Amino acid sequence: MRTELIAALTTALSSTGIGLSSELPWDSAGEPLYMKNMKRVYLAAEELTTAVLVPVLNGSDINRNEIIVRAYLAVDAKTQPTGLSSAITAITNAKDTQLISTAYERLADYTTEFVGDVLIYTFEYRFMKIE
Amino acid sequence: MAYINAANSADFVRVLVRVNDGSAPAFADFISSGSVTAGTLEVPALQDITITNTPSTFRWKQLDSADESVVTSVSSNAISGNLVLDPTKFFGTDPSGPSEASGTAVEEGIFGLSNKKQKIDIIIGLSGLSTGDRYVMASGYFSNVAPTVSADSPIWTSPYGVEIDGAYTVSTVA
Repeated sequence: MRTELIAALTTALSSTGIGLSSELPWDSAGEPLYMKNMKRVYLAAEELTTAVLVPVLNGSDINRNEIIVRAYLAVDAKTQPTGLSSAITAITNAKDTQLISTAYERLADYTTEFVGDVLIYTFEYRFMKIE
Repeated sequence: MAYINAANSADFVRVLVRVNDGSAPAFADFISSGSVTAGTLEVPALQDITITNTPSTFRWKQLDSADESVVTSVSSNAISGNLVLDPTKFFGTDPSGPSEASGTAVEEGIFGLSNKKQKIDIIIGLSGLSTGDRYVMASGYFSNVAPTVSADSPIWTSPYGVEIDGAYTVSTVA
């Protein structure tokens, strides 16, 4: 999912002035990369939760896999980039990319927080698959 | 106190179906030398199964009794449940056309046997069909087959029923 989201966002963000990194948002000297490199979206590694969707008496249960991918974007809270609103919409809509063909349910939302004069957007994509 | 455990893979419920040949079914019709016989369909992916035996009752009141009296008469027997669709087992490997005679249970599948109103034999191993396992066996007709799928549960499932012709045979695998 993360790979497909990066491919989709590469296209979607191309005219917004907001960049995209293929790196994971690891910490550099105690500061996450998205804080050091603002106006650039970073996608975290995938997380997986498996739950039984249809229990079966005489075989393997049918499971629902929920794959979560978080994305981070930091911008200057005092002077926000002009293409920020379009970028936020594009990032949220990336959940519907047809590059991801196996998900039957797609959800995306985001939260915001201030760290000093930096506004941090945290996006969360959730994709449901049948296994 | 003993109980019937169907949780382990060795004790999974097993349901086998074959086309009735005009005679009462026997265990060997379903399993021979430890293997499922040719043409016999093993129903996969059961969500649940219920075996119903409902005798009819005749009740009457008497002036010399404060309570009703009852006797039972003929029973109504049926099997019901839900399953997840396996396309091969549900629709068959080679279903016959509308004007053709029914093939084997494997060829017709559950939907085909129901659609053709084909009489079937069915055996249910409550915790498998190995030596010592208890089973229920009968003949009847598939009913209430209704495959369905929804947007929030995108796996095809179906209820199923078997209207039993006559009585159940209950025994233990020798």
